[in-house]
Amino acid sequence: MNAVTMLQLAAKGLGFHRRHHLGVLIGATLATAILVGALAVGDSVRHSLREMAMARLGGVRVALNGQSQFFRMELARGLTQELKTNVAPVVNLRGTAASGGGDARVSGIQVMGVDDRFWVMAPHSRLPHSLYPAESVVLSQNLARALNAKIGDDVLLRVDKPSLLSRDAPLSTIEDSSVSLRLPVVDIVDDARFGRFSLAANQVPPFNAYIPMEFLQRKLGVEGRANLLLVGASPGKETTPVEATTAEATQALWKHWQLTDSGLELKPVPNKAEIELRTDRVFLDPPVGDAAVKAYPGAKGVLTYFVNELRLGARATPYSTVAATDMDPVPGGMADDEIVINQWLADDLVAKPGDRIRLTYWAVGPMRRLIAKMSDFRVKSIVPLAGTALDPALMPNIPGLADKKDCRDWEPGVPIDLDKIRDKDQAYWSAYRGAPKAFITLRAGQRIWDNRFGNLTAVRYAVSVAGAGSANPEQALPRVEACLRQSLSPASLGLFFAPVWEQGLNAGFQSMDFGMLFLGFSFFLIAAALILTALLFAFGVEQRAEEVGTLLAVGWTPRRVQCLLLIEGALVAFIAAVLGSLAAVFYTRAVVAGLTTVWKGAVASTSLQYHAELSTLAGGAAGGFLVALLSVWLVVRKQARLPARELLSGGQLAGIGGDAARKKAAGKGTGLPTAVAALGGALILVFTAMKADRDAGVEYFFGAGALFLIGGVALCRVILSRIERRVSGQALSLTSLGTRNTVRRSGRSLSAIGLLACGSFLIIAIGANRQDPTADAEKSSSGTGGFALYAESSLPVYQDLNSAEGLDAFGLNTEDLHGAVVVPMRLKEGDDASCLNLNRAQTPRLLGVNPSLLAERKAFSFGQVWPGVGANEASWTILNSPLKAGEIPAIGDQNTVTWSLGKSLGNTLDYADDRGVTRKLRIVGVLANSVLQGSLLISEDNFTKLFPRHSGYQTFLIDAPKGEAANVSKTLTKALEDVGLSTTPAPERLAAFNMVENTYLSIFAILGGLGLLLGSFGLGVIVLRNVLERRGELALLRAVGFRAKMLHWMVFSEHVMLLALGLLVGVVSAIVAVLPALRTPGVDTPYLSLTLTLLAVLVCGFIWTWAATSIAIRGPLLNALRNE
Amino acid sequence: MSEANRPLLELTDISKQYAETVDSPITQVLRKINLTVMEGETVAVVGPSGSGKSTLLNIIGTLDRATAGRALLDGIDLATLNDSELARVRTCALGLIFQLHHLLPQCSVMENVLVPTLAGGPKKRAEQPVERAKRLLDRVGLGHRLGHRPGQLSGGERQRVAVVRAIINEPKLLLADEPTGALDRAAADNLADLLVELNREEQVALLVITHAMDLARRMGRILELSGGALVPLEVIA
Repeated sequence: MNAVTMLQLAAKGLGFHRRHHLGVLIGATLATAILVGALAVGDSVRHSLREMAMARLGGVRVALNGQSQFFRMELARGLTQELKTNVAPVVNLRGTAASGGGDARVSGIQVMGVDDRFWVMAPHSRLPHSLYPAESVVLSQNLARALNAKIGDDVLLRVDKPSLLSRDAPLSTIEDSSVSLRLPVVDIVDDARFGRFSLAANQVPPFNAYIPMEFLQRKLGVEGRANLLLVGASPGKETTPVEATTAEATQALWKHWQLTDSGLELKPVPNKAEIELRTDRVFLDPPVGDAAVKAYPGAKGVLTYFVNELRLGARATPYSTVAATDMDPVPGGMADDEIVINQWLADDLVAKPGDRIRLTYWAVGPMRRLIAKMSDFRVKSIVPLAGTALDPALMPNIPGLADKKDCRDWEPGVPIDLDKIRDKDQAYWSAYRGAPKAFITLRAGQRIWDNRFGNLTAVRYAVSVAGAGSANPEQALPRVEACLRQSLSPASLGLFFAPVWEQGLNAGFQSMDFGMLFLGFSFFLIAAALILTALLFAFGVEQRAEEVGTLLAVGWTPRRVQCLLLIEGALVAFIAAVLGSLAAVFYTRAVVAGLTTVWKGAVASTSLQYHAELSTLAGGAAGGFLVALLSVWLVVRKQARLPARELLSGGQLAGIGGDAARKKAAGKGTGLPTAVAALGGALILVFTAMKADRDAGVEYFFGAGALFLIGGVALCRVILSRIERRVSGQALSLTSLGTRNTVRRSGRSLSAIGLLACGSFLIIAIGANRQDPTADAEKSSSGTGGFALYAESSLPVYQDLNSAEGLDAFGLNTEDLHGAVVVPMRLKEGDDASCLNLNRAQTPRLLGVNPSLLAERKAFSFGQVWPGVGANEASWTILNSPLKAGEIPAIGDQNTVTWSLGKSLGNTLDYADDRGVTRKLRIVGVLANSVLQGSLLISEDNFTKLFPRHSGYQTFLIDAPKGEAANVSKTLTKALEDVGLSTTPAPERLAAFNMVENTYLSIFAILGGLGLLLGSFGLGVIVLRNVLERRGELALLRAVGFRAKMLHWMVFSEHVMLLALGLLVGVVSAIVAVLPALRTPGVDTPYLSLTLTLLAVLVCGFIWTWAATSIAIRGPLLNALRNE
Repeated sequence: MSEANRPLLELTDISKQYAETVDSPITQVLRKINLTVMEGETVAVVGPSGSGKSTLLNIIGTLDRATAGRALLDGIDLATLNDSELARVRTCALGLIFQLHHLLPQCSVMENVLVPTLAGGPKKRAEQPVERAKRLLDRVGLGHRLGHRPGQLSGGERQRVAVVRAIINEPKLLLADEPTGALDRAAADNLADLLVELNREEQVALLVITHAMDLARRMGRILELSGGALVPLEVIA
């Protein structure tokens, strides 16, 4: 036989004292299971999000989203050859869908024109899709379900018709801005076949309608063009880092990109030795214009504008073009208030040099409000209608104008009075088309016609300069283009690749960590299990005083004895870690089941799958082992402190709340100062809170509640100490005997009181903060901002819905809206950054709002404002604050900023603008819980600077008179059906957000409640131990004539006092802490569930106490007497 | 009695007093006790209940400290040692036997005997612990029960295991507190024989606290503790 080792001895002890250790094992297993389970919930959410991202993107690795820019399909072919991988061009637009009968309607859908190159990238492609009929539609499962459509049914789609020129731009038209398509459903695709395809990181599946590419292009008038390129993983390079793919794709794009892909056109000017750069967007983007002018010496910018009238006195020439340029026929040195007119105009107006001509033209204000403007010019000279003065090419491709043969067919985006057009005007148009009738300096033109879309309509290059001597524009063209390509990059024109695969995975990985969230929710439950573990271990060790005494007597040091006990505890903790990890599988499955059913509000009804990483189970088990070991160590470190002689003669070991604690509690007298200090501090905080502002008051009250809790427990300690002193001098009675026993182990009693007090405090304090969105919803300071409705449209709305003209465009008049006021906001599509999106938003949605519209209403409440803006008070006007280095001030909802973006006040966020330039948005204000959750807000001015190609409004806050919200909603939804307007009562939208938080609170309440019940079980253990220790005393009382029932009541009442004290301290402290919440109208305190939880704890406490007393008193007490 | 050559234990004016609380009266248990035990000597201390016998043994056994006086064990002043050093003394120099055996119920006979060796032992051992344990257990008649648990032994057998446990680390002084107190007469006689034989065979001094005069008479000297003082007792054969 070998020498015995510590480990063997510990193992022997473990086996021999297995009954004592069983309770410890259960407690530690429970703690580990909950800990590991919580972490595995995080794994499950992350795994589910990853699966969704993979279903969403299939084989797509990087994407180029041109949005309103339509590039050549050949670009995809070039990239395919270059990258040797599949590159799919897609026409991607927003739209609405309705069932054939019109009884079901879905807005905000993605309408995509695709071909086989798209379908092969689906997670599980099934070829050939090219067999789909040309005029058909494939629906995603969710869209088919929403429309109640089956294969063979017809659906009606309305698609946003792409416009080369922003519909906000001067001269653009908003007529015919969408296309209707009635198509038969030929297939319905699930997630495996791209039913979930989307570039936005959101676990909510989008509504998708897929149409054969060529058919859709034809219907939209964008034949041979697409606005989205999807690049798949190269064969054999599936594991290549996404950065490499993005870089390769960008390099290939540079190689194959042409000016026409960005709507630019470079061509010789007819009959002139010049080459002209122009755009089908009418205006050249300012950076493009600047770069194009600087590309060559001698390049000249041109700004040609369509004016309503040129007037001289009583004579007027209607609807003409005027060019602003510094080249011929504008003479060098001409003043900015001078104008050169052609002979035709001079004849028409009977003008001569020196006359003043008035130009009248439209400028477009916010919400396409047309503003008539006038400018006067003095006639510098009159030039013949020939040579440089006869240049029809100077007129840009103004939609509704350039392609019309007859003036009377003109349909520009501005109102024109066709009656004003005379025969001579028609004759001029027929002969010279849009050749400008007048010329002003470029500087003068840019002063009066500058707009956010640009200040040039063309750049002209003189061939003699550009072509280095060559007078043939055709020959010089390639060289000019090559130089221009060097000056312009695709990215500067809005064409750049984004690593969507990486972003998708990051969105899942960086999402809200549900593992940590559930760990937080389960904190009290784990703590309760660990306290129970420690209690049971302590009581088990207490039974082994003789053993410890023997070890000390034979020469073991206390530290060695502690080490032996620790090893024994470690063995229990290890077994518990293994068992707990196994149990965690079931716990996690139960939680995941809860999250997909009763708690689905916490995950926005996302379908989750159970998944646990081995590393999580191992790490969690290690964590569980360590915390259980820590609990054991806290007990063990107090052991073996009594002398061996006392232990061998039947002395008790120090356990939780043992004699040592009692002496400390009673002797040192720190309870009273602590109680006084804590309760005094609580009162001071309450007093301060009364004077503080509302928000700070909440923190003060919570602090006061916490201090009240500490003070309350300390007060209990004082009370127990006082009682001990008082009853020790009293005549012996059954009552005093019982009371003495309660205070004899005051540390143990305080543990029970503290556990119950903390538990009830947490449950009430957190549970009382449930939000009720309907309370005070009509107030502008509430989360609704005082707005009755929140609306979003699938297609942009260009009109001002507050004006009679705007309403008239939708067949409405002002009476129809009952005085409702609409605050429109521009929308830049992005990731939903609300709590309804479990993914971490990579590029959040942006809203552009006119700050004054919200500021004057004092809409919403600001949580915090960044001091850097120097605002005296929180107001929406901080969105107009100038920031250093071109930063853009942004405001976001507190939840969006903190949780969805992982940012805080004053942080910056990188955001790519229309030109691919990374801009910094600085968060200068956060809003308290609001309907604006999910987006960041910037000023409309900044929005249009960042996204000049963007047009129209898609998000609306609607203030309707009380009681009229439903009518207004119905009227607007019906009238704006074609743009897919959907309205939501603002309190309802807020409720959807609050549901997440409220569900979190419910989960916490349930898990916390379980912890509290476990705490009450701990009380039962304490009772059992107390009574077992007193079996001799109780036997003696029986022996001298006390009835068992009487003793039962005595013991029961002693411990119920602890239960009552614990709950009382916890409840009173919690009420102090949540006083502001109880007084706040928006808070929906769940009195019933909280009361039921506390009652359950009370009842369970009674049951445990009664059961423990019964067990201890049961049986022949004579043995106990003999043992004494 | 074994041959004595030099002092092993020297107690000089050892006193011990207790007070339950600061305010409660002082109880004087031991008053200026003087005692010398030579190497290999056997000594019995008798006295009425409450006379302080166990207190004296606890002080000698380093389980308690004297209020006053000096205790030298093998020339070392016990008062100068800290708790760890005292534990080391218990491990190497002393063996303790109690009225109750205090065996670890979860361990076998052999393991119980070896428990003190886990705490350490003499730097130079005459024989290895396991061999020594086997030999001694064989010597006390338990060689065939090495793997048995305490619950499977009689009271006398358990106490014999406790005796072997006490001498496993080759102590110089064996302290026994009422070693036969919980045994029947036959078992008590056997244990007394065993203690005397071990004293001779293992050259270990023996100090026995007992009420049993039969056991006391088998020791070389008998001292009586009465009224807190230690006096030699005349024994009438």
